[in-house]
Amino acid sequence: MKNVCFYFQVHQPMRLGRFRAFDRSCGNPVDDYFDTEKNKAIFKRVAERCYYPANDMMLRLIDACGRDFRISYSLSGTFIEQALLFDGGVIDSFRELAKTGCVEFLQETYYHSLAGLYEDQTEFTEQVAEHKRVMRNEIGVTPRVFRNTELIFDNRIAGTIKNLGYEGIVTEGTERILGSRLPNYLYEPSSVPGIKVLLKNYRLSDDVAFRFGDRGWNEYPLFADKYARWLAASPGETINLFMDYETFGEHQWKETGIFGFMEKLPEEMRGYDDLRFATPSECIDSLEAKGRIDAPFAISWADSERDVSACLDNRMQQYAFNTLRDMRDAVLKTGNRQIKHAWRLLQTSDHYYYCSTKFFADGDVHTYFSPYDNPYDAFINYLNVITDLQRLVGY
Amino acid sequence: MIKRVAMIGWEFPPFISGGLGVHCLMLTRELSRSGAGVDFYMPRMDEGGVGSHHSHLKIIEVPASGGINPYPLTKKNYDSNFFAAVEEYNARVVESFESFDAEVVHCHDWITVKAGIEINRRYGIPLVLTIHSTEYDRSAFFMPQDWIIDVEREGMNTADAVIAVSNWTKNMLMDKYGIPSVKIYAVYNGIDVSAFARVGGRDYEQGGKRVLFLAQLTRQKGPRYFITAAKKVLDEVGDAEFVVAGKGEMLGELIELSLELGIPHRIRFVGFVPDDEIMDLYNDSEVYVLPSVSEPFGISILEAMASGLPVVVSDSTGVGEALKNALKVPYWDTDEMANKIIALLKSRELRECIGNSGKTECRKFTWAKCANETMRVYESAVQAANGIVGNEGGG
Repeated sequence: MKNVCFYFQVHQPMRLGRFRAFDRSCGNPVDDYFDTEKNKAIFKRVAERCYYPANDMMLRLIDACGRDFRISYSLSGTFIEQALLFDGGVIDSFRELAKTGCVEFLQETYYHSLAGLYEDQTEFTEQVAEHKRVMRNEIGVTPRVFRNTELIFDNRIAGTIKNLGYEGIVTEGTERILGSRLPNYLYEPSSVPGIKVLLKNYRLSDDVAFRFGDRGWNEYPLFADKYARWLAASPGETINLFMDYETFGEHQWKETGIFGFMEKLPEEMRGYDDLRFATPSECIDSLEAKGRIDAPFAISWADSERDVSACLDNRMQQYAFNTLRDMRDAVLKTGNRQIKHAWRLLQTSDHYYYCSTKFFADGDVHTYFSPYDNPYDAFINYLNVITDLQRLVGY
Repeated sequence: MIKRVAMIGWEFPPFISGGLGVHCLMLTRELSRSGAGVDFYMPRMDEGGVGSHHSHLKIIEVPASGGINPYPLTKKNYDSNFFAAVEEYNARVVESFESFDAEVVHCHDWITVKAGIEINRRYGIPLVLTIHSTEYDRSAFFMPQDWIIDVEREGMNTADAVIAVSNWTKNMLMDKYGIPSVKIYAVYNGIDVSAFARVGGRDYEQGGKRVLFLAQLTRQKGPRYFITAAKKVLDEVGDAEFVVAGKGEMLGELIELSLELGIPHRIRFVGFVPDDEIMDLYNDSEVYVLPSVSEPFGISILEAMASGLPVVVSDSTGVGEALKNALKVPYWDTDEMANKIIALLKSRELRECIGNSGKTECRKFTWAKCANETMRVYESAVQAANGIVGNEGGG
């Protein structure tokens, strides 16, 4: 049997409002920095185009497939927080999916942050614990498998996650750690054996996530029968298809036929005896690690480089990252929960991503996802906010 | 391929007073490199000859009341003597015309267009008119002179093809002059970056706080907005320093404004800066600002960028529309202008990112590209003169 393991990332950052050099927070930094109206409008739009129709489709598929259908999600804490604020029905719909028993939820950092890259892993660990709380309280589940922001992975992160008791971790199946080996097996980190690593098959994943609606693609149009054939032909024990949930309806508009594609896939897969759906935990329970991987430097699923350069390539991003990281003590010392929350919301990777200047190769993606006209405006706004936060905490 | 062009100029190095002369020199040099012969008509100057060093073209000096600047610094220089000189020059060009084998006659701005119109009428040579700036730009939309507008419109209506130095200008020609899109081609100027590239590169670590305005002190260039923004910057960055380089009719009111705002000690009016000192000015500054109300192209923006200086420009500049690594603001939005200047003064990282990227980006504006595209416009003009119209979508 060969597993087909879908995991969808569900995330919304808290976007900043316009904050200028002369603006000052009056002591409610979350309200003063973040643009509730804009975040609400975007959330509502994505809920309507993606979350509701996609969740409904998944529920229908679970019904129709007699529970043979399996998928998994990772919901960021900032997503859950906004869902609760702006559209509680979205959370209800994920709870319903959780109840089917066919859906697994993964653990991540509450803030969808880059804290895993901090040398001192305390902040990272706390953000994972915060996510654990919100998943238990709001969705009613306790995840066994961890996924990090942007699938960022290195030996240190693997060690922290294993120590926290997780049995598996998902990351990018890049050649940088695999060499010529296939992503379609479980691996374990050579530095911390005993935790299983699921690697994204990025070709087959990106065929759906990025290329599905691309009329210039030589495989366009992609129908479910062809895709099932590709899955059947892909050698190994598990094909890990990891992508943003917004693939359905946002990145690929419904007019591309993306929903119909997914709806037909289980049926087309039934034509191949050895294909079955599985969740990451089912993969971990049924498969052994086939080899070891070593990640002394961080890898991720972002951009063509599959490293952390989308978030930390230029000096603006590095300044922002270092400044945020280093003000932890000052923030905690205030004992002010709003300040702490604002500081952590500012760690969300999207803020760094907006400042990416890798225009010419990957620029289109960055521009598409950014609320700013360009990375410099993004940085200026972010700089103004963190400068004000520094003032608030006396750092 | 056009083999011979008759170009009607107004100024030419070394007798140069504006960007028009540089444009003609660089354009004709590149045209002749690509195999086209150019007959260049210009006024005979009182002192000295034009020089044999312009061996790439045949210069035909036309006796006229020479030594006049087509774009005098102040309105009151637009006196009747000046206009009479322009009339006389244009008439003499027609009398002296000898380029009967030219396939195209190419004029620049209203100042030379009358001759072009008449040559086109008499000899049927297709007419190309480059618009470097319009009366609306020069007046900043404040009391433009109708009769100049009429000359400009007549020239564009007669021309078989019109070159606008940007899409900003192209749109102006469509909106204000009613010229159809199909006959206007946007062709950007070039820049010879070697003259501005600082040896060894800029040191962004150095912590000066100097902000530079380098343009004529006319309404068009928006110096009042610069001073108003300076006040707002100084409220946040007390040790910032502002240099106003250039002369013009607004000097008095600008000094008055700086007194009114209480910041005369932070603003240095340095007057006209000769070409050979401009490089030092760029090198000694941290930020370049050009808040033009309407700037058809804005070559000095590229010069600043070539020297690695981060630029803040209004969103109503021609070259700005094609730049990614320039910060743009509406010219009247002095809050946002100040916000961006403050960020640049505070963040070495921002200066470095934008300065380095801008330095690379400005290299895409080459005179070879400009000449190449101009040549294509010549070909279109010849076709248009033969009744074939076709600028699909414009430049």
